[in-house]
Amino acid sequence: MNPRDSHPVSLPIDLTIQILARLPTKSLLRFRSVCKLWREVLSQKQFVDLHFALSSRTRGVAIESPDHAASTPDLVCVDPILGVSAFSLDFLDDRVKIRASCNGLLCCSSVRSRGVYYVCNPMTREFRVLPRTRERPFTRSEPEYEATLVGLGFDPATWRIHVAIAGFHRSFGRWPRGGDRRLVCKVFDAATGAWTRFAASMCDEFTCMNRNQSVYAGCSMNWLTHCCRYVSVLDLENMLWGKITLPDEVLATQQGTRFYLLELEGSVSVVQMSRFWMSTWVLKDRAKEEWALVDRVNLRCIDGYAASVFPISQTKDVVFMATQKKILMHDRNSRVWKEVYGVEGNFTYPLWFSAFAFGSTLFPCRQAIFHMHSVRRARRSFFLLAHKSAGRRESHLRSSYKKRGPTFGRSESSIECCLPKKLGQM
Amino acid sequence: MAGSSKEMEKVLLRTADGGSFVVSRCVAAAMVAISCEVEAGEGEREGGILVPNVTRPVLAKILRFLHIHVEMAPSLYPITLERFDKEFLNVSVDFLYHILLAAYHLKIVSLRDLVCQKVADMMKGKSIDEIRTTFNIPNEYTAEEMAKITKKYPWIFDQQLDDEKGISVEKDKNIENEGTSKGKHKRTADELGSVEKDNHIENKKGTNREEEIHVESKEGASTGKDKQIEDKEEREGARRRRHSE
Repeated sequence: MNPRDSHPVSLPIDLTIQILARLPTKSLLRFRSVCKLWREVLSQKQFVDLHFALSSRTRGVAIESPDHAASTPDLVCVDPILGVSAFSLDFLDDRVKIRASCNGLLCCSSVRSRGVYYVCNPMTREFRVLPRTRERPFTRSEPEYEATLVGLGFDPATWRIHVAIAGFHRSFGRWPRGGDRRLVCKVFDAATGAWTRFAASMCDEFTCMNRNQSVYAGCSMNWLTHCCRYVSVLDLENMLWGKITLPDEVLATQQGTRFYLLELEGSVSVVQMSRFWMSTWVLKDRAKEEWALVDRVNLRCIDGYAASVFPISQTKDVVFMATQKKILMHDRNSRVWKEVYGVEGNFTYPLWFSAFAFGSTLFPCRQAIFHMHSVRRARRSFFLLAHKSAGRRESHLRSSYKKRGPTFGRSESSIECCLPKKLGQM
Repeated sequence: MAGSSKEMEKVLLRTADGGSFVVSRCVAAAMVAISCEVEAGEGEREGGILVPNVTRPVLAKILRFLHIHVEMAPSLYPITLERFDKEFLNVSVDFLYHILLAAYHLKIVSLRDLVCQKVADMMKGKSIDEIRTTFNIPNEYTAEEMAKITKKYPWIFDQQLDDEKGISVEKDKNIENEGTSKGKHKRTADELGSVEKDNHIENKKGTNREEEIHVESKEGASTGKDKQIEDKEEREGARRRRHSE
């Protein structure tokens, strides 16, 4: 029964835009086909930015399904307004592992072909294949460095995309001694379409949780370190590593507490968890290293989980925590805890390991750098090079490129892969 | 205190269909479209200020909203304001549209945002045809073009339309309950069950009815609690106001 059938009203376009900007992303993608005016409006940058600004209520978590079984979806998203929804990453046509998430985009690494990374928006199903990171294929005498850290940055103001990967380099047969290890870093800038490689000395360790929790803020990627005395910051403009010390009060009470790095409304925030309290600190001034305590949550209600619960995502109104098998949501205003998602049975990874902060947006991840004509020409020569260095992985990748049909949401047909200008530079 | 006494001055507002209202100056100034006239002091003249584009019942409703949000807001808890907003927008759809248009023309940003959110919530799970009917938009696509679009983006047009409506309704009900963690776990297992996409919709529809009955009985108990809370808040508000005076 539709009560509105009696009097359809025509609204001014400004008002329609305000209403549309408050809709969930899935509805917006559907309403693009209502009329041509709406399609035009919904694809403009101003609208997408307005929708993002109003979407802080729908930030939640995305959980990667660890088993890749046919019946389970690849991605399960939980948010406070729409609840639980499932998505598939089959448009990537590859088996992937999610490594980082930023402003509605995901950075995934290919499981089948090492060194291949994707940046995708699981809502709009747009994606982009990044150029390969290694000059030569992996062989015995050139062992790969584990991509210890993977970070994705998407600046909502400029729509600029950065991907940073870093790994400790070791020569064949030798473990690095002492505290001075070489961290090889590569930063991809979507504006140039190429990786920049540099090395740094790093004596920090990163735990599993540290690696999963990267925060992009102010054109830099941030990670916590194992010693939990400071935040390691990679400046993406200048390709430099730096440190930001944690607040003194936090360092004083460090004993017996755990630390996590989350984003809070575009800023870096550190969550300190003790047995009974969870304190949230936000970095107010990056240059002066000033932190402010924004919230203290009592953990008595979830006492049973307190030892094994980890914060995954937060906004100013809610916090999402993950345990082995459950996702809990805490409302800061009403101080109510709710269990919003749970899994049954045994999974390879606990939920906290495969959960990322995620909020759906309409941000694009494919920016055309090459004209379609030159992409086809470049791709042909890329295949020639790939063919020379043979190997099962390369040929699989080639065949999967061929298989992919038109990507969704754009009038240009085939995939655009950003190939570097000089193929040798890969 | 010259500032507050000026704000307490009364201003006369008229509508095109003969309605007239006497409100305080700060409430009138909240309507940005006529705030210049209010500042110029035209409200004290005999004719008052003619408020364009609104009818009497709509202006009455808007003035009630502004009275609560502008005059009484400092002495009310945020949760009381939220409850008021929810109750305030519990009107027929036609009237809601009139309020929306009036808020837009009178440039009352907070009311406009509130009503836009409400309309967006109502639009959430609808299909394209329903949206076209509601907004009076002619169909510019041929049947073949629509079929092509549906085929190209199947994941957008799948049956999860109802889910978008269903889950949010349940969530509202959940918030009123603070069950034990065991109770919560059971409810979630029933609601969410397996993560399989195929069974997702059937599970929802199947358990929806049970959940509604389960929650309604609890709501009966909690509305009693709510009333107590509201009374308490009103008493607190009254006490606060008395103290400030």
